Amino acid sequence: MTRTATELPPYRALLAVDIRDFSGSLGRDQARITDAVPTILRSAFQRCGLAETWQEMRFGFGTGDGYALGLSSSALPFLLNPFLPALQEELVYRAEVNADPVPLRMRVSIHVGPVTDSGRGLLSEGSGTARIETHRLLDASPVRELLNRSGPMTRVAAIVSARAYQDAVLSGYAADAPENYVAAPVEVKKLVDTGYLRVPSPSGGLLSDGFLPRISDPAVVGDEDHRGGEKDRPGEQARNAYTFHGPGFVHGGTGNQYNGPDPTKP
Amino acid sequence: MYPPGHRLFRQGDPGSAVLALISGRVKVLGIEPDGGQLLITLRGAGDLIGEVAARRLSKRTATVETIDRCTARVLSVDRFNAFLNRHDGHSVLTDYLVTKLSQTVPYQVELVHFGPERKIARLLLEVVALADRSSANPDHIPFSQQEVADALGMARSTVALHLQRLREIGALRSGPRLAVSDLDALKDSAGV
Repeated sequence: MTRTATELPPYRALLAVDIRDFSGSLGRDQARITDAVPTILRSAFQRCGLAETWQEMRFGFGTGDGYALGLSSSALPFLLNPFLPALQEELVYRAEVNADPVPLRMRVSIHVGPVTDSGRGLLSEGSGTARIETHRLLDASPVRELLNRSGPMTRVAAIVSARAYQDAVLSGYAADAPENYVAAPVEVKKLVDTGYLRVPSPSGGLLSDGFLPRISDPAVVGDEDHRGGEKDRPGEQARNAYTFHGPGFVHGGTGNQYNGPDPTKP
Repeated sequence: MYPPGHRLFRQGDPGSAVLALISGRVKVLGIEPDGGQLLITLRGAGDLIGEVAARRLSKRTATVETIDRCTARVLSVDRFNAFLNRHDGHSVLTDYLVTKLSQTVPYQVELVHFGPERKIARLLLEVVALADRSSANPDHIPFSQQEVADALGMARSTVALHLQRLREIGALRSGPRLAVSDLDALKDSAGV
């Protein structure tokens, strides 16, 4: 069998969101919540001045309890900042005006990579490994745990792929400090990667213990070397559930970032 | 018990007490150096007022005025802290502040990217949502056109134009006083 090279599909910024505890909501409310998701996303884009970005969406699909969409890769930095805080604010506003049957909280994953995009509105638009990875990230336990361990005021917890983090955050394009992100290992099905956790408004356990859960059972804290090292450095708070030594590891969460909209930005 | 339009706190005053709002709505206003007032946020029954200054023992960061007749309980900072200690409430308060502190930019800045009609609809929707059961007429919006204009930093004529449109689509009742007629239509205009 001979294989010939084919063109790589275009790189797209990929966003997926998921409603927390959707299956736990009343069946009769589920349709209303499903229908609300694109409205929420559109209003969040509008809220932070990205109405055009929403309109220029390459593709967008409902996933039942969420939504997945693709944008021009140049939009990637804006998904991190200001979109994520704007989504948090939009959900806070919706809770204040009782817009939804129950106050909604969302997991978000952000990725970038090659996906099909014919521009013809096919059902297959946005296909590719990168799309699958976006959904895998959304299912990863570190980002699920963020919502489990935070108070109800934390409405958005995001996980950003290593590629998106490198391209948009470390590069400075997102104008969002790398310290606002916490690296976490991701292992979902075939995907083994590092995800970067970002919570616009941390609360509860995220403030007291950081973005990675504290585990008291030494058996799961990690390898012998790691624990041995800890004894030598009692000041270091390396009590996270994951032993992770990848680049850019940041201990704990940050609770002191300013989360409101920046009035100096257009 | 406070009458409508009563000033509960003045920006810059020392903050020595916390108010627990039991019924009624209040406006939180930021006073600009030139004397102008900007709406920062609205609060309703169940909210704490003055908790920012009280916790840091600093000056009031905003002016607070009642919208409706309000009932509130006044707590000294010491009693408030003692209450939090007794009920292990400090982390709950921190969580509360996380949300409330994200609402410290003026309303008009938060809504700056929305079109005028959406801004107005969002403000009206929030005022109505904050009305509690003690309110005699929860559909009524106790704001004048001028107050809506001031809150959103818009010209009164612009506000009048869009309020008229909201009446035409049936979201607001016709007549001089502002009142919601169709909540879903208002939500549509607000984009929620």
